[in-house]
Amino acid sequence: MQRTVEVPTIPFSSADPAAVKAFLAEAGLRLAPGEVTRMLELLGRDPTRVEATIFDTMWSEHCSYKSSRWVLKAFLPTESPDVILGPGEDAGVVRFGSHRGVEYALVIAHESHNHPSQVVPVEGAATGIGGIVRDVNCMGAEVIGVMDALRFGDPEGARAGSVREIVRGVIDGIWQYGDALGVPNVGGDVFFSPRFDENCLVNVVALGLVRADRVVRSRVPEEARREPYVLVLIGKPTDETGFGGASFASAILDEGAEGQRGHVQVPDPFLKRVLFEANRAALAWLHGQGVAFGFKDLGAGGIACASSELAAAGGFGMDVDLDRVPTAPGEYPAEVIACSETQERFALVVPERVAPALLAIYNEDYALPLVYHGAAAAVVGRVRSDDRYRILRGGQPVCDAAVEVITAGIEHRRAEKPRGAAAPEPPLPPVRDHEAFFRRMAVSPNVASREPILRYYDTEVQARMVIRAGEADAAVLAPIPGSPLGCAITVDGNPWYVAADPYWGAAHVVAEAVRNLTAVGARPVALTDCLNFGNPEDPEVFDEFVRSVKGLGDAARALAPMGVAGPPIAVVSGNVSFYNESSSGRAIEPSPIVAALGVLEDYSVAVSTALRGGESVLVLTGAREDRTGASQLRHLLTGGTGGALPTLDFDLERRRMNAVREAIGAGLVLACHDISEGGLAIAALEMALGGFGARGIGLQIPISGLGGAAPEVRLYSEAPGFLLEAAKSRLPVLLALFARHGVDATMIGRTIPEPRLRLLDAGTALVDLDLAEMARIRGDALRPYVE
Amino acid sequence: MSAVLLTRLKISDLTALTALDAARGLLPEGIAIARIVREELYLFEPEPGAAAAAFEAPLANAIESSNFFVNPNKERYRFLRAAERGDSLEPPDGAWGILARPRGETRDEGLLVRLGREHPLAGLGAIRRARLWWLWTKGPGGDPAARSSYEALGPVSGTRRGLLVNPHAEASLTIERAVPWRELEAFLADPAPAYRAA
Amino acid sequence: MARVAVLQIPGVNCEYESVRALEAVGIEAAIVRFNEPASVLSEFDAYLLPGGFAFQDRIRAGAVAAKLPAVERIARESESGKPVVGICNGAQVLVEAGLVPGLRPGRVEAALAPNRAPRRPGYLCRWIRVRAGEGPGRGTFTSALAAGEVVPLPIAHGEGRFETADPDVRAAIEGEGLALLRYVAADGAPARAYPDDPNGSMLQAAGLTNRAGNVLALMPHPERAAQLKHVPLDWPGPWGDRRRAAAGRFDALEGPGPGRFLFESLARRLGAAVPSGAIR
Repeated sequence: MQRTVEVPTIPFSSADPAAVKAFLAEAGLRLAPGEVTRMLELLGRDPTRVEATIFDTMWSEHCSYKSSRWVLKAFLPTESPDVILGPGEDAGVVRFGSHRGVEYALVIAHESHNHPSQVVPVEGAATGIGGIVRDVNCMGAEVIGVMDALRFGDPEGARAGSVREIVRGVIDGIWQYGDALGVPNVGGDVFFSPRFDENCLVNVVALGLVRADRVVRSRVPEEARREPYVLVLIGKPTDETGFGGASFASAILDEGAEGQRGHVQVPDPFLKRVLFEANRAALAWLHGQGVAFGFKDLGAGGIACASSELAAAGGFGMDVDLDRVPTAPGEYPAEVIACSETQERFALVVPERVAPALLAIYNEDYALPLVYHGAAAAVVGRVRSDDRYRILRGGQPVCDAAVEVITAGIEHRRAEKPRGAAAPEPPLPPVRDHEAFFRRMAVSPNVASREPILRYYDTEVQARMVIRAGEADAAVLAPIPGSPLGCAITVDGNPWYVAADPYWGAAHVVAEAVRNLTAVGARPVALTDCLNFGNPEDPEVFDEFVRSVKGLGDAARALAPMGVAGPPIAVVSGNVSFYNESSSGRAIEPSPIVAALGVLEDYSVAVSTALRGGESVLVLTGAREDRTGASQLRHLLTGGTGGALPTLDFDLERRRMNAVREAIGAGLVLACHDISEGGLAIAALEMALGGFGARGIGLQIPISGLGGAAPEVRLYSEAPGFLLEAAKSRLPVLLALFARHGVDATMIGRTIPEPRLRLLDAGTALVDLDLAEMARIRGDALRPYVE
Repeated sequence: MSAVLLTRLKISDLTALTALDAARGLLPEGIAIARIVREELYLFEPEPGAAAAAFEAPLANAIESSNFFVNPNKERYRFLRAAERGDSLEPPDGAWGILARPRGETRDEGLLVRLGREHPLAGLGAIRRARLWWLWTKGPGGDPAARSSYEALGPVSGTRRGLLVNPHAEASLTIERAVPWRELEAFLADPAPAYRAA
Repeated sequence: MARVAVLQIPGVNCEYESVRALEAVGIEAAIVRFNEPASVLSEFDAYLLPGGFAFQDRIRAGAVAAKLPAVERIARESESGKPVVGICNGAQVLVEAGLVPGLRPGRVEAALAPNRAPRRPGYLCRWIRVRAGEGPGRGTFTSALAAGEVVPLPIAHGEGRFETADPDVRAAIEGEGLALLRYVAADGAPARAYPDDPNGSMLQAAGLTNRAGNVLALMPHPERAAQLKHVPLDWPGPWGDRRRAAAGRFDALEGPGPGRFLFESLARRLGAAVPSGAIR
């Protein structure tokens, strides 16, 4: 049914194409002309300014997945016995296990905050963390970890100054927000490449813990048919911050014209911490009252998006009264109050009868108005049992439509065209001075120690950490006090691999992430993906996108412990970020970034990368291979980042990971590291150095038995594999275990008493270096960019 | 002669608002306070033998076009070149000020190194930093009562006395009227004397 | 049963692990919000001010919280000898409230200034080592430690440098053993340089007590090191060896870690029956 409104509308229906464009520009809207037509069809009349703004936000690529939805649906597995809630809400939920008769679940969400971080690095990155932790918290979960995957330009390249400012600003934003919030940083990764010079990537992941019977849905519950339900808005007073991209851009030019408020999203971790505590108390109270309720965070599209989605998901309508929304000092147009992206806000849908007591928890017990000027919880709307969705201002509807009109969504089919074959990569020049090259590799930006960055992050708060970021390939937490249940988490994505081959590169990203979980002994239970690409309207970019998603999906099925015969590692949450390109139109490297979540029945079996020493040997599984495309070796020797990727044999890799996991679970492994950037040589160095304790356990590896390729290929090949440390006495058992899985495993070295790393070929030392010195130069390499 | 940058928030300054709330509980009977504004002060000192003019243009550009010193979405600033800064720093209308700087460090070496990496400036010798609190107080006679207000709100000596400065970590100066830049420069550059709580 | 209040000031974020560490040693711990009636606080036997960012560190870390009625009440209770420990941000509150070093109670005699470390500005999170000395706080806070024992603990702060501008105060702190816990190198010798000395604190102080020895301002986080599982797997020295030897044994990893000494000492002081087992 079509509704008329009394307030002024934008007369699109009587406008010629030029006038339509002018109306859009005047209102700061980015709807395409075809989308305007669709909006008019759905509404059956011209839209109010509020309605047009809502469609503009809801139909943005960010919210609507209008280009990507069909691809994701077609190729990504989203269901498995581990999954409680797949994609669709703010975060995915998977089974964890039970402790003392209570079932627990893990919650995970993954998003990008790329453009804001490029423009305003500190606030951009901080808001990224702020947004992703809300997504997890609003599922009813306690947030127990955050990770960040960062892609920066070349800090020594043509735009070094600006790149360095972004690197430092992003790291400042992450630590300033996360540390104040009291959520530990549990990992992340950093990759430098010139194609991120003008468009950095800041992907953020949040992890939560919740009782499985207390997962809260983002919808009006069915009980709202039986008694009156109201909408409660909680948090920061609404203002115009983060209202639309257009106002953001003009605010930068608008220096000095503003009185007390800015135009960007302004994050506030302090208020968020108070809100987390208040939410904890409020949700516990609501559960105790035995009432059904819905909970959602406010992100893009603000009050309008959150309220309409809560209503539509439950099959209800809603009236929202903007006059009851707490606002910052000043006068705001209706579309700003309805749609601004003011941070640190949540919405609850609760029975009207409990609202007064609920408000008291926020406003009195947790004293929101006292601790933050203007913050409050307030009733701002009422659930309707029909399907009508209205936003009221001064008693007048400024939006009035069937709720499914608002949330209908939109889809675009984009053209795909394979990129032409790249010119063949030149052969590698030989390495003459192996020790000098090893040093160069060890301090190169993509290989050097991440410690200078990690030291800014609070890795300890909550006291749940068992193996920290930087100590192993994945972090391991013991989330439930008193329970042996452990979870492991990692995030990965080598952009050079995906640029060289979108399908196999993306498959390698998944393989690397699952290998990282395997290296601590965890079983993979879920993946999330954040797909960062250029302009989807460019057929070559979109073709890369489609191929990458296929690669992700195929790897997620094939690398699950039982392979394609069993359930996949489900992709439970994610995000698509398009239009990552420089002002000159050069797209970033296609960058699917994957987080992987694993479970350990007993966290105590987990191992780190640090050698334990004593009478121990080093075992390699995964043959070295003369395919060096996109490797750090090729980049350092030729400057190139293309070429043929290492072979990824899904079935062999799956069996290899099963064998490693079984060996760790059986206590046969003292330390484990997967082989990735920098190959076997760098993996061995990292094991010898240990994590941050830097005990420095000497290691000697003759590489003569590693095939006939050039020594540098044997040392730095990034072909998939693992290095495992085992007690000498357990070696036969370990090798037999691998043989049983039909997987190669060879003893290639041993620990030595001297604190040195020795890599030998045919009796000659290619590398013989002091570990303390290597720890120092590797630890110093990134300091100039972050301190 | 140094160039000077002053920055302040243009969004609500919750620190200043909190300070205002706390100040109302600390001021003696009869003194009212209407407003507190917080500013960050940066002094850019040329290397010996150089002049600030050597780096002022690229510095102005770094301030204007990057996020290094100022985020234009939440902060505003005044950049005063050495030749144009005038003789003295003057309090805003009706206000008096407290200038506080770290006790131990007179130069911010870390900031200088960062700036050099991200925006290299030839001829820049040192950056000195301080925080400025501007206070609008009014005593019984209608005057600012700056002396007694400073005792109540300046260096903290007990839970009921002092607020904005911890004298064990910071050295401070009151600015009741125009203070010559030379005097400020000396205050920022000289070692702080020992402090004994009265 | 001994009862300890963990004061929840808006912005603190270590209240839950603090409660767990207290409960593990047989203490009944309760989180008390800053705006509950101050009289509630008087019912407790001791107080813990946890880490975090109370009132967002507005003005200065601890400056606003130090003036809260709840903190004033805790100060009053401390005069009767009840133990008070502030960890990290809690330490900053106690210093700003004049409780530590408290030579003349109620006077602010010290500060927690920004870390001073070469080329390493800002917040720093890492594991360091401390050693307890002799001083009036020993009976309450470090009685569970062997003489000269080196204890690894994590720090996580940007303003952790104990400093006083008053030479008399400094002399008293040094002369009377008020710097109860000090940063040391792996061999137990005083920390000479970063990173053993993470912040440039006077007298390498990691924890400072008052003269009566019942109030401790401690920058490292023992509650984040209360169990053996918290020790990094590659940590050198005896605690690292214990951690590695416990690999694969859940019960051992849930058992006491290096940070437990503080809670155990406090429990003994309060007369609690200290269980030897793991946190459950």
